[in-house]
Amino acid sequence: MKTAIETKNLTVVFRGKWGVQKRAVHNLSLKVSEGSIFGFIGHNGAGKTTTIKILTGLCRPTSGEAEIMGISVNNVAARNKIGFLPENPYFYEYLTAGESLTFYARLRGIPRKDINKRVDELLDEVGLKDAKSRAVKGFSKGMKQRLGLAQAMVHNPEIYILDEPLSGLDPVGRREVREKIIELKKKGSSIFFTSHVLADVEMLCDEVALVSQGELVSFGKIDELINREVISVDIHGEGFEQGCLKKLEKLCKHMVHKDNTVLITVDTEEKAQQAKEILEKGGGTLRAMIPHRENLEDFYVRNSRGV
Amino acid sequence: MKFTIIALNTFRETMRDRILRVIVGVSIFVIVISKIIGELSIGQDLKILVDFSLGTIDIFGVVLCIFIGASLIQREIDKKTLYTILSCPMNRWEFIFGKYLGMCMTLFVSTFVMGIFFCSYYFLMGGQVSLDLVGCIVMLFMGLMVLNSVAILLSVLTSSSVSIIVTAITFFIGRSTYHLKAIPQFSDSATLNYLTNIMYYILPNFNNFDIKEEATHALTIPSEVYLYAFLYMVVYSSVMLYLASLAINKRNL
Repeated sequence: MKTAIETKNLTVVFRGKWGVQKRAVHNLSLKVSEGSIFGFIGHNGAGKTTTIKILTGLCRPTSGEAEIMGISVNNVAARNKIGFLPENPYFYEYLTAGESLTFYARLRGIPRKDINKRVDELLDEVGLKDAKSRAVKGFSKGMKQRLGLAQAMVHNPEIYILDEPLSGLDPVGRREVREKIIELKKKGSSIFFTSHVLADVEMLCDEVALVSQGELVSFGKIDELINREVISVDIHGEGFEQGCLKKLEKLCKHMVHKDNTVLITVDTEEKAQQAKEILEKGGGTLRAMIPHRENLEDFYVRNSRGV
Repeated sequence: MKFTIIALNTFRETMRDRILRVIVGVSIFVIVISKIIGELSIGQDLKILVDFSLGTIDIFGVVLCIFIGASLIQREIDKKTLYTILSCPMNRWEFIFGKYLGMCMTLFVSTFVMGIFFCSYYFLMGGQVSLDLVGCIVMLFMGLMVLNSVAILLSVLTSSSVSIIVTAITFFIGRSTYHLKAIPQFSDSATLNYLTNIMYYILPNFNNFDIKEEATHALTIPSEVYLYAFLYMVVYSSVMLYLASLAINKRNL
């Protein structure tokens, strides 16, 4: 499979006031396969947005290299390949949604005769058809996010770089954007995106990279990174003899009981089985036994070094 | 030719700015009342109308440059509108040049509207609109183009408020360069002489574009004056825009 985005030992050091240096990204090496959805996660200030700024030509790396479809990001031609949605996209507020997209379509070199048709298509696709003649000034955050997505799609790029595409959207909007991302992948585009909503990342991405303090902590396919074994089991029982509680307490990590119902959490399936037997011997009824496997959030908490 | 798209968009942005309409409106009002003020003098009313009107076109153009031009780039950086623009396949110098051209188009329209109004009003009041009078307005516009290039450079280098203040100071010093040149005659300080000499050559000389005095007194202006002003405008603005492009190229957004 071809590589859509590649960074090699990328390092970015910013010089602050009084010459104080701040390392935003350190030795970051990544490969994003063509046609995949790639999640770039990390806490605030981990270096995600700086990396995206390098890929989109807004920042210059202090050292290392970054390439888009084999073209160096320092080359303006690399930007032909990408559609970029910044975090909280900003637009000229005096322009209408239609005028904004026309402006971006012209900057992207779309022939004049095709612009009107493309703008209408895009506004329809992102659900802003009725807002075509409204000034962006009056748009909600969600509407600006949709318009941002439309401007990223204006030239049908091969790669989408989306910084927090799901932020500011209501549940319906989030679902629509998720579906749009999957649709873009089906059309053959590669998507590189950041998000703090890890459930969405887990649902959408083929691969993820976790960064912390500017450094790559983990990188790979989600199924390879996450431990899919059971990490805990929740047991809900009721109608037991009070004598059972002491035996259960020795087994479990957490226990909550009220009247004759109990909710316990144990850390292995064996202990869950023992707890079930204790409950049943004590005359109780098992209402539910729910095993938990590690998800991306657990992986994130386990691996992220924090701020 | 991406800069033309940026220029047209900047033109649209600045034309929709309320400051522009207020400034053009106020300047037209000042031109109208200048005739009334002129009537207080004896037989000098048309001269005062010309003097006042040209001064108004000049000062209000400078105010536009300072308040719109000097924050043009920094506002894009602060509001992050630059992110989606510079991630398009476009060189940063094209963005700078486009912003400059767009602002020049706005200055042209405002100067043109004020100039047309003044010439028509002057003609209706019995004055004779000479080519040199029109030339004087064109010279004022060329001066504004130079000031605009300085404003764009400062807008890349500093915050909006600082660039507004420094652009204004640059204009006032640029209008007083002859005094600057004269300072060494009154001082023995070598450092002061050295500094004033540097300032004289570095800061724009707006006196090159100021022929209001000659226009007011209906004096003939040699064509070399126009040619020199035009060349000065092209060279000085190009240097400023080149420096602005270098500065924005180095800048991490």
